[in-house]
Amino acid sequence: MKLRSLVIGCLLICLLLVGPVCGAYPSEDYSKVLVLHLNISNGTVNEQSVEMQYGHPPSLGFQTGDIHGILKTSEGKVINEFDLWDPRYQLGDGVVISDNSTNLSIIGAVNYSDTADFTLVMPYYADQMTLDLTDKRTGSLLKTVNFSSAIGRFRATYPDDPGVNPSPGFRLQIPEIRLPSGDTLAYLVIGCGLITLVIMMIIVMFRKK
Amino acid sequence: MADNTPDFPVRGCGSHRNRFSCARILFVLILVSLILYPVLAAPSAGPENMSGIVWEKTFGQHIQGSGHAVIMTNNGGVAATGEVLGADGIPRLSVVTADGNGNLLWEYVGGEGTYEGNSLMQTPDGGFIVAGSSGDGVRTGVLLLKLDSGGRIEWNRTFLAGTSGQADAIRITSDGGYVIAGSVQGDSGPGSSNWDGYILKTDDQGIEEWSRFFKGVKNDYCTAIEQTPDDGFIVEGTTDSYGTGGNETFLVQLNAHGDEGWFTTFGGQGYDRGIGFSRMADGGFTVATLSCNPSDAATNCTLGVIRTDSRGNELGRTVIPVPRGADGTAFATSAGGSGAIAFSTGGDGSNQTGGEVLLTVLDDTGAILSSGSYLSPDGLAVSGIAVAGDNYAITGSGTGASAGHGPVIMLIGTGRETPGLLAPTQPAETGPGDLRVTVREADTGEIATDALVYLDGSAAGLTSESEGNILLQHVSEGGHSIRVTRDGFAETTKTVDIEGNQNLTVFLSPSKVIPVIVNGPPEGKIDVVFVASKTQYDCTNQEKVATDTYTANRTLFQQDVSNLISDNYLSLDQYTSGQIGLPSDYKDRFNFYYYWDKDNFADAFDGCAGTLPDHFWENAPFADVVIIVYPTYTGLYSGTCQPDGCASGLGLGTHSWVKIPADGGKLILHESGHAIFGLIDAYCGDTYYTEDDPFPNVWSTGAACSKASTSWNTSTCKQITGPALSPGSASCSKQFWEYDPEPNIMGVGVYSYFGKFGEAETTRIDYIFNNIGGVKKA
Repeated sequence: MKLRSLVIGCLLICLLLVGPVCGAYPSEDYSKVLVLHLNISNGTVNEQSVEMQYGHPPSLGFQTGDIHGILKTSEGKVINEFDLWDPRYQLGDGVVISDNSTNLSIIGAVNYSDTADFTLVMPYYADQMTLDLTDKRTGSLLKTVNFSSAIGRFRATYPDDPGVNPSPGFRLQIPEIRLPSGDTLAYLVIGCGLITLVIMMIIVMFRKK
Repeated sequence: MADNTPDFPVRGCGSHRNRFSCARILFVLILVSLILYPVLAAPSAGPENMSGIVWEKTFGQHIQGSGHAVIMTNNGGVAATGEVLGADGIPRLSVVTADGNGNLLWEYVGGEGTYEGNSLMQTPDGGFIVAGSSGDGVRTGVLLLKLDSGGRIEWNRTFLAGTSGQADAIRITSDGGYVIAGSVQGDSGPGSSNWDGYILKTDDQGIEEWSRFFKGVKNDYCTAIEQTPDDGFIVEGTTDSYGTGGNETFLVQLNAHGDEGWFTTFGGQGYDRGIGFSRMADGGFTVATLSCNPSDAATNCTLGVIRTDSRGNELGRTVIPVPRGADGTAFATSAGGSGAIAFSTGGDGSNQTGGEVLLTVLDDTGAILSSGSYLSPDGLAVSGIAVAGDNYAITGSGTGASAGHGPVIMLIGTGRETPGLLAPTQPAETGPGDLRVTVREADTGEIATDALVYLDGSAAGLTSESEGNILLQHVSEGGHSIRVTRDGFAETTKTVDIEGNQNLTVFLSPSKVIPVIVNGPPEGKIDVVFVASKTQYDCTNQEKVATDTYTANRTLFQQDVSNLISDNYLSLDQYTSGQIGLPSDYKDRFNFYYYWDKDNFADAFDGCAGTLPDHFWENAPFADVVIIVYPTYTGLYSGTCQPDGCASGLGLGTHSWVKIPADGGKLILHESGHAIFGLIDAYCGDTYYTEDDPFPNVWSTGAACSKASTSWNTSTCKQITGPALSPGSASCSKQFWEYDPEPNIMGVGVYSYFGKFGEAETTRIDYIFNNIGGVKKA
């Protein structure tokens, strides 16, 4: 029973030590997106800018529309596909006041413009290379957006990001053990010393017994 | 012998009986110490205390003398330059050097015609280069003087660019030459009396390579200069010709050939004077400017320490009141970027007990780290200061009764280094290849603790709770990226070029995306972001009008957003069909935010659905749906007015937003029916119809509608038709069928107190809730 108590006590000490070191760290966030600024004009999609940045993507696959998007790898494999609303259309709703002000009705208006700027935010997948945008009504390809330049710039700025470096073949992902710095490091060293002291105390106690 | 052993048991730890008791005590002690350790070990916060004056001395036995500039030398001593007045009554340039204990090593006094030294640097050969003024008896100009390490003259040059002139700053350039910032008068020809800034570049022998003038219609002065890594230059000065009026401090960029790049001024309505600046590791600058009220300049001055980006755009400033009666002010930074300001008071010559020197120590962002006051026996009136580690050398003139015969130098130590012999001029905080990253809040300048710092994209750790920084060790030379994230702040990435050891300060601005109700990561939720509009619509005059209802009242916008959320999204169970129902935790499947950029608001009446603030998607890429809220319509609404609600997008996802008035009743639910749930208008009008699978709310045939539910049939599914909206027009009829009866929120019931989403619409809403983020209904 005493041995069990001591073991539990030691575990408790370890938890007390590890808690302040590990528990206070906010989670690392490596989520990335591609932000595409595009323009559609007279049926032609033009690319204004494509940049990769840190951030979380919106939900895809719930939108209805006449544009179909396909994300592909550099080898042309489909990663994800979804429909997109045609940005040239907007749905207006207005109120109509009839004979007297208490009788309200609603009218709709589809607003169409030949040209529209629009922004698409795409999630980043490993080996993601292109987005094909096609017109569902005609089946014609509106635009292939190539992400390689944006991804290249991102990799140059963040070469050690665990999610962007190309991995030749299989790579075992072992989390890097990082030594905390400053106050935390000192705390850890002293904590380890105290753990060692406790363990030595237990060993001495049971050897004598 | 009597047994003196007491008859109570000995409570020692040697016996087996007591070993476990002792172990328990020890165990408890260790446990208590572990629990208390984080508290006891926490470093104390707050300003450090300065230890005091290490020494103060007056160097020379002249009639008068004063130091204008001081540096720390590479052998741990100090050197100062200034002027002395000899028996002949003619001022001459003076240079003195002393060891770390204040013992004079040598004194150099210039020949006739050398008037003063205003800046000096130690050269790689151990000698000194001094800049000041000299003249030929008729004109004065910029003096450049080279001394060897023993105080012997090697050469001197005088540059007469006008009738009068002087150098105020000198720097050794990357090619081994020198660059000087100063001012000249009368350089524009006979009769010209304005002062102009003057930049002179020479080779290592003081031979002119090029010179430039900073000219305006009034007086302008160049007083400080630094070389940038691209071999260009940044010059600080004071201008009366440019800016918003009155004297203002300026920075101007020159390339390696002296051609002007960007230019910026700092100041206001008072008299501003640049007194020094430094370049920070991130390429930005810390600029010190002395501002005085023109009506009371003697007693109403402040010193502003301004942080700028790499093009001189102001990011923030720390304002430090100048003590009343101050007779000297000086500013300097160390090689590591930390700065110091010295003020002197009371040294007016009548004070027999000397004057007071006030020292304020700044970090590399201009934020105050500590301050202290020191009684100067010689009544030091401050002219120059130098910083090396925790030591501060201050020079000026002695105004006390027993002083005034030469430059006075005071050495102050802060106690972290051994007083006496000074530490080397390199910052002691970091080792080779170390990068210390300090994170601060841009709004307040306060340190930001627990900010997560990434080096080149990989997490490196958190900033410390005591100092808001983290030391990144052994960072290789060359370019690196530092990304910093912290809850409530917009993440920031800085690129830094590492050369040896450096300090970098990253400023975090408050996030433009403010959480209202967040139930989990964006990927698993419907993320709704509200944005305030800067416009509304006047239906009487049929025109868009600007409004500051929200832009000037963030609290009102917050309240309206809160009401819209609680009255609509979190009350959806009241507005949907009880027959179908919603997931019991549907409220938890939303995340709500609002977006606030004080310089960028939405325009609800730029097109049907309005336009979002610039860079919205970069700041809120995760937004599934954006709601532009405008205060209200003004004037009398009629059918010919702008739509009061509009959706750009059918279904949540990228680039989907709507506009609604804050007082539009269920219109927000109608537009959200479009933009979040992909519902189609159920009223008859000039709108958009499609059978939006799965679980549509309108169908392209009556048969398809009746098949949608076993409880529906062709009699319950009805074609979308409607009355004529104006006399004489045809009745409306569409080739689409719907099931949900009026008052229907997707139909005309949007304006009815009793309007609800019907069974078909609720089925679609339920489908979206159950599939967002891959969540499946149990």
